[in-house]
Amino acid sequence: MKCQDVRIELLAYLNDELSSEDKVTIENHLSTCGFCAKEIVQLQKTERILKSGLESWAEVGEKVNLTEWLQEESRKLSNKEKKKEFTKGFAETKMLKHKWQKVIRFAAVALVLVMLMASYWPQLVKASTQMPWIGPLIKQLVLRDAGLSWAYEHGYMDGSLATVEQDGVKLTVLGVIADPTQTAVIYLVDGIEEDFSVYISKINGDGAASWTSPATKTSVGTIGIAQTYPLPEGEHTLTVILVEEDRDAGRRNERLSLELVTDRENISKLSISYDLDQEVTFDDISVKAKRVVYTPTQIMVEYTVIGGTGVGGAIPQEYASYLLTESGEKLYRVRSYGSHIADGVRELYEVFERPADVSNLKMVIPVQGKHQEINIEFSEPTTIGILDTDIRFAGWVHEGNMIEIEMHYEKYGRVKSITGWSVVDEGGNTEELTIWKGESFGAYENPGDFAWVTTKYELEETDRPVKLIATQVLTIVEGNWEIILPAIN
Amino acid sequence: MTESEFMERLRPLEAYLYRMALAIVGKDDAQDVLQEALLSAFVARKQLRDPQYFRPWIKKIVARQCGKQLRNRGTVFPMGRGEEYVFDSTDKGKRPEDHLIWQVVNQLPEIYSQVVILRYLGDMSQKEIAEALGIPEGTVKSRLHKGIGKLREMLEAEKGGLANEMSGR
Repeated sequence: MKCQDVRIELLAYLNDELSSEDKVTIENHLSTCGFCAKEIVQLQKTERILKSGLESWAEVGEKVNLTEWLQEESRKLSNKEKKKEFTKGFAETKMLKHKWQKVIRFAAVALVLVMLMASYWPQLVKASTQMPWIGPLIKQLVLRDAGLSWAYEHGYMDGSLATVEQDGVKLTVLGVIADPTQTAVIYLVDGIEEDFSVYISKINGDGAASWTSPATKTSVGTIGIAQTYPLPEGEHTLTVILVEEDRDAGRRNERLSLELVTDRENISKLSISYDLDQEVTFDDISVKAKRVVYTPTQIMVEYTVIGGTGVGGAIPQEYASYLLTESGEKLYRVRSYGSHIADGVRELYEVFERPADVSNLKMVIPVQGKHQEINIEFSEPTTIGILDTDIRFAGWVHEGNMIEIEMHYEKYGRVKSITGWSVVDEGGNTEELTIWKGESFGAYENPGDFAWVTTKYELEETDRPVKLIATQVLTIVEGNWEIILPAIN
Repeated sequence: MTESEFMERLRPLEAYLYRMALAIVGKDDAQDVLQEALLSAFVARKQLRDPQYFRPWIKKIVARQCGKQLRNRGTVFPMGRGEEYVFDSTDKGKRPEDHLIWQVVNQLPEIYSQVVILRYLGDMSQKEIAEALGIPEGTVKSRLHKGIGKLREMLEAEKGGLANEMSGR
């Protein structure tokens, strides 16, 4: 059996998914083939890392409330025979589509009265006085975010009710929290069975980016939060919409829309904002800090990045920005927003939890570079210079369908390594080298010295003369850039 | 298994199962998928003979439901997003290596990360993944093969980086 045929079965072999015949075939091959035997050891290692890494990640999950919901659903299930209360041909599948269930029991009469009052439009009524029971629900909702929670506790939610109804579907806005780090609209929806979402579609008439968190289903409707960017100070008109999700057709239909005015004055008065003017340039990337805002619970930093890639919301946690406190504690961001405002120019806001001690705070931004396309053919040992760094090509060996390449790098690992290889044969056929590292080992001496790396690659086709071509370079610009945050008086 | 036994065993797994669903189907669908899975698990609880296998049993049910969701998914784009992105973190203080794995897996194209997560978090065999996603087993085989290959490459590169970080360079 050929190596490449064996290789593709190794995962199934390791997981005991093969028939006994196939197992024997594989084992026979493994006992005679050193390459594949090494390969399976590497595979096992990778699988172990993967599995334990994913498991530990999954373990540290957020608090969710499933058991109670399930208990309620199971109660409903057992009552199904007794109560014939579902019209519209209530099917099992529809029942399964309900959102988070939390049962609140209140006097039905009071409820009806309150709903009647709340449905008058466009009369604005304070939610807290007309729906006293709404408090605990909202409190539960906002608990997930320190900023929202604080705002709600301290009375900074604009609790004016606004509502719109059409064809039996009703959307009510219970309150808006507009602080310097986020804008949140708390809503209640009733009368719709299908999948739906509530978004903030416009700010002062311009399109806005919006997202929602999981909503909670209660006996009076579904309650949830729709969020958008932090608003500038002052008054703003928000357009809130209810959108029906049609998953089969892959479409969204806007069902309801309402407008409301919110004011960011109040919490702003408790927040302190400083303009920053710090800038640094790495290679072709320039990062400029513009502003920092301290709210009672959070710290937000605004900055612009020109050039480079990988800075902003898309980068891994390890490379994410963090606040560095005086005691050396790292606080990773809670939220970040970014947008491309022009080609290669990104505006970013990052929000962090505010630590108790805000003296001597620094914000650290790791900066990352990008992949570069190159097309360099290697035959003789040679040195090439890429972005002021030398990469030395020491040699390569081609045997059957395995190619071993030796490279010498300055500071191997994070800075400038070749990540794309291909070969071209006499017929002009090119083949990208499969990024299997059967074996890769390297060593580096003292800082500043060259490191050497030998890597094995695998080819689909064997035994033909080829030329080796480097096709891509990963340039990672090393650098943690620090923004000094001003101390608050 | 009785109803209360089921609930008792489910409670400590809530967060974990939610994370798993989140990883496979994404934020918008995770709660729906999870609820469907839990309900059907609850209804079928008598099928589980030995309650000490509750965890792998329920993991499999959730993973299967996730796979189904992926298969049935249409193309739905969020409104008003354009080129903007939001990162919302709810986790703090985890071991860096663990988070690295998650981020590395996340960087794979979806067709690879899906099968990888279904296999290593959902503990599904290649056949089960194929059934859940509605694709041929051979396709699962080759996607896993390529996905693991890419991951190894990325992990090797990261390891070099981590080594540099840890040695204080």
